Amino acid sequence: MSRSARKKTRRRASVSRNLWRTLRLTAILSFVCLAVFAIGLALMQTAQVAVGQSTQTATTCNPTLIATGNPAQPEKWFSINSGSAADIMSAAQCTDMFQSALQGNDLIANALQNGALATPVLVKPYRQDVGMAQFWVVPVVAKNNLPLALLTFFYNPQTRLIHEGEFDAVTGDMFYVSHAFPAISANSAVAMVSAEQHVAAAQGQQPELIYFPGDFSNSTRVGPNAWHAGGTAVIDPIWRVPGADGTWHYVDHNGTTHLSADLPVDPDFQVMPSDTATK
Amino acid sequence: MRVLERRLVFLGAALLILAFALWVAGGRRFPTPAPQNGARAASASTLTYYGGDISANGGMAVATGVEATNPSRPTNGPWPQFVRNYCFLAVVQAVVNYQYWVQGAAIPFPHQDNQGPADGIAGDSTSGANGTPWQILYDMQNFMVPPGGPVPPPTGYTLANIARDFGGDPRAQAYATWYEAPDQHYYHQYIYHNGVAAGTYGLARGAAISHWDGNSPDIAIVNHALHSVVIPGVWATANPATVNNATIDSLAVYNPWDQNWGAYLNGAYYARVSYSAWTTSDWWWGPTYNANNGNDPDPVIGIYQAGPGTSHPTAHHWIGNYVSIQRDEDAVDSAEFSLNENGQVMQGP
Repeated sequence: MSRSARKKTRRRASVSRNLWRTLRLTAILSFVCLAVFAIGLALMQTAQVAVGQSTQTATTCNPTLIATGNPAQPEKWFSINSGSAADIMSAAQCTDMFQSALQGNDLIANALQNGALATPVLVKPYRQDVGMAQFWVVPVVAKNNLPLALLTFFYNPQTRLIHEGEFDAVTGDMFYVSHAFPAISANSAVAMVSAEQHVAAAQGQQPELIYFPGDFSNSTRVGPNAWHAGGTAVIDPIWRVPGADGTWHYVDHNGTTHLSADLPVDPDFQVMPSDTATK
Repeated sequence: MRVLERRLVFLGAALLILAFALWVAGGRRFPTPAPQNGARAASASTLTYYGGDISANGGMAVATGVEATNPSRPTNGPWPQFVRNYCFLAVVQAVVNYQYWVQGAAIPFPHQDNQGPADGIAGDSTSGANGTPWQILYDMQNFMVPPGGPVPPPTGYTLANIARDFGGDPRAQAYATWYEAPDQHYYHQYIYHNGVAAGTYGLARGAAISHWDGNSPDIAIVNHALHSVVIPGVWATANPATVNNATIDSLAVYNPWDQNWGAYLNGAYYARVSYSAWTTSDWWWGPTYNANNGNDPDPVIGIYQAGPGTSHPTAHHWIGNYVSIQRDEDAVDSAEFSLNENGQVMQGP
C-alpha cells in the first residue's frame, strides 16, 4: 500500500471513530435527558397530590381535587376548617354550583337572591355500613325563617371536606314549605323521648339528624299506612336520640317518637339499628 | 466507553429508577394536564345553562305547575303525579305541555287528571268526550298499542307497553311523547350501554340541542327504573350539543312524585343536581335500569324482546343500561325505535 493510501485509510478510520463517538455521546445524553424528564413528571405528580391536600381560609377558596372515575373531571372539595357554621358556609360558597346558582333565574337562584343562608346542619345516613353519604344541609330562608331552598353538600368526615350535592327548591306541598328547618330541635327531640318513652339521653352523646332509604314499594308508598313523617330524604331528616337504655329512639319531623322497628326502611337495605352500638 | 460516558449512563439509570420509585409512591397516576384540571376547577362564571326555560313563570313552570311557594297555586295543576305509578304519564305531560308552551299555544294537559283516572285503573281512563278529562292514559290504551301487541297476558299496566311493566315502559313514554307533541317533534328512546359518564353526556346533549323551535326537555328513567323525571337542561363549561369535551357541572331535575305522600328521591319537585350526585346516587343514575323484582322487565314483544322466554333469551334491552327519552330530528324512524349512544337505530336488543 502506498503512503498516500495508508493516510487515506487512517483518515477514514479517524472520521469513523469520531462519528461513532458523537453518536454514542448523543445517545447517552438523550438517555440522561429522558431520565431527567421522567424525574420531572414524577415530581409533578407528587406536587399535584400535595396541592390536593391544601385547605382554604375563610377568604379564599382552595379546592382539593379528588380523582374520579373520569380522570378529566376531578371533583373539587373544600375544607370546613374549624367546622364552625361560618366555616361550613364559607366552604359551601366556594363550590362552583353555589357561585353559578347565584347568577341564574331558576327557583334556586330566586331563593338565593331573595333569602339568606341559615345555620348548616349535619345529616347522617341511618347506618355507616350501607354506602350512603353524610351531608351538610344549608337552608336558604325567607324573612319568616321558612326555607326557600335546601342546599346539600357531600361531607367526608375523615378529610373534613365538602363537595356540591343537590340544591332543592322548597315548593308546593313539601313539608318544609310551612316549617323551619329542621322542624324539631335537638333539645326538643331529647325532651320528647324523655316524656313519651321515659328514657333519658345517654350521657355525653348528642342526638343526630339521619335519613334512610324509604320503603316505597307498591303496597306501602301511598295510602293510609304510608309513612309521612320524614327521614326518607336528606332534606327531610329525623332525629335519633341515644337512650340511656342503650337503644336508639327516633323522633320524626312531626315530633312523634319511635323505636327502630317503626321506621319503614326499604327492605333491600339493612334494617334500622336499635342498639346504639350500631351507627 | 470513556469514564465520563460510563458515569453519564450510570446517572441516567439511577434517575430512571428514582423516577419509577416516585411514580409508584405517588399512586401510579400520570399528572393531569393543566388545561383539564383547569376545566373542572374553572370558576363558576364559566358555567352556562344549556336547555329549556326553567325561569320563574317560564316554560317548565307552566308545563308542570312547579313554582315558588305561592298561595294562589291551583290545587289541580299539571303536577304532581296523580297516582302512585303515574310518573310515566306526568313526565310525558310535562314535556308535551312544554312544547305547546314554546309555540305560544295553550298547554293541552293543564291538570293532574289529564294523566289518568284517580282510581289508577287504566280501563277507566277517559277521552275528553262528554265533559270528561282528556287523559294521556286513554290515548295510550287506545291509540298506541305496539305492532304485534298488546303484550300477551299478563299484560303490563298499559296496552302501550312492550314489557310487563308495573307502569309505563320506556317505549310507551317515547311513543306517547311523540304522539301527543306538536307536529314535527320526534322522540325516541336513547339507550346508553357505555357507562354513566357517557350516558350523562348524551342526556346533557339531548337537553342542550337547539331544535328549530328551541330546546326540549329529556325524560330520564331513574332510581334503577323505579321512577321517571324530566331534565330540561344542564350547567356546563361549554355546550355539550356542540362539543365533546364540555364539563357537566349539574343538571336541572323536575320530579313529579307527590312529596305529600312522603319524601321520595331528593324530596323536592325541582332540584339542581350536581354531576357527582347524578352519577353516584341511588336516586338518579348511580345504578342502571333494573328489573326491580319483575316490576320493570325487558320487552317481551317486538324486535327488542329480551330475556328468558323471548327470541333473545340471554340478551337485555333496557336492563343494565341507562335509558332516556330525547327529542331528535329523526323523522324517518318511528317512535317505536330505540337509538343507541351513537345515535344509531337499534335493530335488536
